[in-house]
Amino acid sequence: MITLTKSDMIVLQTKLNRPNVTKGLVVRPRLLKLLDSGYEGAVTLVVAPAGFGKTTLVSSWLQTAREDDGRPIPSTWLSLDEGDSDSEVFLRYFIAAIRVIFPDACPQTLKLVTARQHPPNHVLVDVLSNEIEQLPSRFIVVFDDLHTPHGTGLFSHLNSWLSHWPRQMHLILLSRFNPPLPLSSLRAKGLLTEIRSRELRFTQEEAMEYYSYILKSPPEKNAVALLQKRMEGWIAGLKMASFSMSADEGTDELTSVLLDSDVFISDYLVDEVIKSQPTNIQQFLLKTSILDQFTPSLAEELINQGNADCDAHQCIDYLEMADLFLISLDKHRGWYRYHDMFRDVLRQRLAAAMGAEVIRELHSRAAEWFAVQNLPDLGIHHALEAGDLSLAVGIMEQSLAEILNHEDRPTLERWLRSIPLAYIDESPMLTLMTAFNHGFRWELAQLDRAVTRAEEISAKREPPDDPEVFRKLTAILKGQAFYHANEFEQAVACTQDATAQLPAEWRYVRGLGAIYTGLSLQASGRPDAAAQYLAGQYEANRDNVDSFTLRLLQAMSINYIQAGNYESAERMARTMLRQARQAGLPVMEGWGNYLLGYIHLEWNNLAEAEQFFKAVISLQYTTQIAVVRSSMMGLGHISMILGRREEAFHFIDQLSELDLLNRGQEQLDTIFSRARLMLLDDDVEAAEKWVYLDSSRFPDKTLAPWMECIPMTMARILIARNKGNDTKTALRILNETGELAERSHTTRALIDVLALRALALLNLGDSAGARDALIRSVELARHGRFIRTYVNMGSKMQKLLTQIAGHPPVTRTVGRILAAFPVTESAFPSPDPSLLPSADPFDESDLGERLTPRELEVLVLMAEPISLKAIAARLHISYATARRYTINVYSKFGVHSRWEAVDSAVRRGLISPL
Amino acid sequence: MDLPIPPSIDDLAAYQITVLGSLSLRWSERLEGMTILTTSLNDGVTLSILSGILTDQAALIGVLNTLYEFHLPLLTVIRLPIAGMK
Repeated sequence: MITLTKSDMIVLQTKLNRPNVTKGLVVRPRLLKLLDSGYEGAVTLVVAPAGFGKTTLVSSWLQTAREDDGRPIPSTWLSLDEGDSDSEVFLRYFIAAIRVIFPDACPQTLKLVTARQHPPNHVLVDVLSNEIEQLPSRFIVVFDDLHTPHGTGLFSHLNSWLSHWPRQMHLILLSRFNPPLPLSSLRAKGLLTEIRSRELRFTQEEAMEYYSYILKSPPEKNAVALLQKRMEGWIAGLKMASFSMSADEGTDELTSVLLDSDVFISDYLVDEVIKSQPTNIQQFLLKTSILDQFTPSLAEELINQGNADCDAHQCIDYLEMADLFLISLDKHRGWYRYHDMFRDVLRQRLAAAMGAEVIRELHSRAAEWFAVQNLPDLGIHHALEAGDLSLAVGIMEQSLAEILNHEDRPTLERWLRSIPLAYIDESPMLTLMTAFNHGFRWELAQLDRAVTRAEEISAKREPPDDPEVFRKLTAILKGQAFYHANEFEQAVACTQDATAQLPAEWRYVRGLGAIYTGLSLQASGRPDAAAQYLAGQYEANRDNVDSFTLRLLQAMSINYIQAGNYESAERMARTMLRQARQAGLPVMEGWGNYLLGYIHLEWNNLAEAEQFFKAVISLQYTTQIAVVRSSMMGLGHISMILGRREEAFHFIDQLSELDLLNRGQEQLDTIFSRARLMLLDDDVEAAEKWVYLDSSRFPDKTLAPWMECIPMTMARILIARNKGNDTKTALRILNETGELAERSHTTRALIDVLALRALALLNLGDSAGARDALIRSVELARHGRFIRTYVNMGSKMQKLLTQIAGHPPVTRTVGRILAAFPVTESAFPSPDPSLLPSADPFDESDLGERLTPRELEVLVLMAEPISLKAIAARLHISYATARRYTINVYSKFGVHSRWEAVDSAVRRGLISPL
Repeated sequence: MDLPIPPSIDDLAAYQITVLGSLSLRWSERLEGMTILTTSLNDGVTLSILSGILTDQAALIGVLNTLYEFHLPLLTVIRLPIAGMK
């Protein structure tokens, strides 16, 4: 029933089984020929109301379908249901269906589907089409019940495929009505074959043949003719009529009904079919009709509500013998479903016969059965049908550990969406689940709020079912928040014991707890304890490489980086990257590449660093968003160092687009990383406008190894500008950051702080102090082979380094760093920009006139860190209009991004610096 | 309606569908190639009138379903006689 593939994809196997063809089948050569010729094209559409034998026809054709050279054509079947309206669910099943033929097909697409971020549709379609194109032979995919999914999710995928169709795949679509696809253009291109009700319905000859198969004595020709005419060849109707005809006197009664044009014939027939069954079968049919699929044991659970005299196996045998619209989905494991049309009628009769209370009870029983079978999605579905939210939530809680272990964000999100918000806000566990979801998306502030809220609810209102587990989960998430708030002792106190005591099945959360314990132990000044803790955990789990053990390696590598021991950090990150690749864990693969890029950039190995960062970008949707963002900044640095100025800013433009997409506004560290590039470009004037930002607004004061550290960039700008109190302000910032670096034992940051401090002291004329600070910095940097930290600080740093080179303990290190400075910086000092003639092609006053007042208004707001949406709202104009104004401004300024426009406007004096 | 033969669900027929709201011509392809005419009434209400020949009622339901997904309220569906047909 459940298949767990290598990539941890949970699918319901019964959706992938081709239904077995029922007995009494009339061979229909004219239709088989249509299907044969349809295979030449891209799509075969079989469309007719329920009961016209669509499934039977296609299923029987597939059994004998052959290529021209006689090889059987591989085919796979996917029965769609309402759940497939969610395009992430649909794509998982679609890949699972393809994997029935080609077991390892479409690995990249699958990673994207289970990704941390929603990848854009066109990316999914491109990757999937490519991967299908590469499969070794042509094959057929059948989508049955294509009319059941609603909304546009699934069809927007199909539509995109149809525009660049993978030739390897022939699609057969079974639907009750036309799907919303560009059928007329497919028809015009000759790619579409249609089999519709007028082709599917039984001719009089076929009806005669059918009855002579299934009835003991063939019926009268006239009766069949009448039936065929009245039913218009509707196969299910003809079949239902056969139940009346096999009964004594049945044919006469049927004939009289058929002649009475006022009777709604299918109603009559279904009633006759049900009425003609023994009572226990009637009960069985009605009660099991709430299920989309069932096994004897599940059916038993429902029918023996009160009386134990009905045997599900016997009932199923009877229905199969009588050919009563029962379809066997999986002979081996005994899964069945009813014919859709028959099931719909049964459900309607059930409502009339037994009432809402009984139906709710049936759904509850089904929900509990599915929960016990570890089929949470189906359990939740029936619990919701029963109107029993607490049962649905209970099933979610029961499966939470597993969903988290698979880091299955889409499923977690889907479950949370199915529960009303007000209910989530009353339940501590559900609120905690939203916290985990924020964690997957690296939304740390929201995560923090959700954890606090979960604790409040638990204390004030309803305690969770398992308070012990709840407390531990909460403690670990709180520890994470404490770590990011630089409260390391408290972080250790939260995470260490909770991680040890949490049951083994919570592998993902224990991994989280272990990293934060390891990181926080180190940051609180216990590096040995940290190393021992992480190594101990790794030893205990090393036989089983998964995200838990890889997270331990990640924490060890980060600890080495923070301690300034880049050699060991590099080795650890390499091991982690290798194992992550082998285990196919993109989140950790991204981290491995990122840490290596970070280290090699410091070592001035620009080509290697660039490769590692680019590898992170290629995992954009599947790895953690934070490492993707920081890698973009890293690539910006490298491009700028290599003199590829435009490319460098282009990376930051991409970053700000990503921000807009994910958060609706540019993040502060994006703004500062742009300023940092301007500084690297010696453009102090451009960078300086950001120093007016109020530093109390920087929420994130962490010294985690990200490319951008906002206070440090602020200090760099102030030191470079060196006007008025600038240097003093910079020293204050450096003192604060240095204090934090010492407190958190972050040698890496301390090295940077001390070097910058040396430049600041130089500004104040304190050469001796500057030299002392720099010697301390270089001494700390000796083992880590730090280079870029110094080279990025430019020619002043270069000069200062030559002054301390004679100091024996650092001579060798200084020599190595000096060797990395570009030759030109000392040989040809850069000219003072203020002495150069203005290269600005625009006359400023002229430009001011050319902007319309509305454009100017938009421009002023663009300088503030608010989203375009917010700008539109403030000016009471639509988003599209605001967007049009910004585009006008860009084109008048000849720039390509918001911040270039602001930059330009500030320089032209159109707006004042922030 | 005066029809020589009672219609069946799988007859080819011409249909005219009226929905409330404006529907762009570019959706015609997704709507079985039906022609789309948008008109504004005196009171400012905009209607879209789709007309065309559909192969059967499964195609008709497909069109109606797509209009439903577009959130366009359905006003009328008329089955029209086709000149020169049975």
